[in-house]
Amino acid sequence: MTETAGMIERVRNSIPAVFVLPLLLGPLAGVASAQEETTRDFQQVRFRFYLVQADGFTEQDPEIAGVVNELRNLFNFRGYRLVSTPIVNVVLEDRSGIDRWDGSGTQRIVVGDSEMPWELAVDVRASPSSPTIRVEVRLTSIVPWSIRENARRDPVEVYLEASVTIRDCQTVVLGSTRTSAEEPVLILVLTPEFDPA
Amino acid sequence: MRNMNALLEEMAVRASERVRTLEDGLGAPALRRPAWKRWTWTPLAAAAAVAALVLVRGQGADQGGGLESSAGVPPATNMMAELDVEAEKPFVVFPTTDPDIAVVWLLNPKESD
Repeated sequence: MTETAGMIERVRNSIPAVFVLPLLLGPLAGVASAQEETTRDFQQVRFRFYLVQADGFTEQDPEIAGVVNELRNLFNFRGYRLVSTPIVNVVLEDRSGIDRWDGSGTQRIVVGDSEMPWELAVDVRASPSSPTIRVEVRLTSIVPWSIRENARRDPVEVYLEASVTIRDCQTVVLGSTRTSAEEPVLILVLTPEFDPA
Repeated sequence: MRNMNALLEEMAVRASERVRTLEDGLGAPALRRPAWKRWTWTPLAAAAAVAALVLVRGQGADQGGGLESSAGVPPATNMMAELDVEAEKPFVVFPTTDPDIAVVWLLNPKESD
């Protein structure tokens, strides 16, 4: 009799533990993951670029159809050709410790059989609490060792350079008027993706 | 078998005890919840409160703790409103029909004159 009563007592005492333990352990796991989230001190931004050459191209490229439609409303170039689609991944880190993230990335672009490569450079600044980032983008042409004379390093000519403030998935189309008739008109289309999966 | 009988007897005794306390009137002891119920529901309520606190705090941290992704967030009305451009050359910013596309056109110094 006392044995049975003891058994009932034990079962009764274990009931709260059965229900309460998972409930207590669940929130504790949540606390751990929430802390991991808030203490993260870096952010990744992926920049999708389209390098587009204007004039003299009649074929339509569906990948840049939306941007080309807008450009047709503004300029009277006879066509647009997609030359390259570089992607630059930038990891933003709080290096200064003042709650400001920054990072940079570069990408070499070789167009067709051209001997003259281009370099795309991106410098990014951001504040963790801001929905926008500040992007400085620079497209330069590089004259390689093989075709230059008596120079100590690759001469660089800046073709496009600007800083813009931009949100996630917005698009900035950066172009320039040509300085000579021989110079191609290159247009850089830039779209950032914050924290790409 | 003897154990089963003992168990049934114990349950009957406990059931009659409960009925008896109710019959005794509306006094505090009679209406008091059984101890095992208190021990079950009190920690459950505490755990639920802690969980709610963690969820609320987590949402707050998400709002201030990183670059906001556009997923699920309505886009700004027009990016022209907050587009801040700097360049060494003079430039023109063209709005477009798409509120998420802006065109920045750098000019040669001669052209800008």
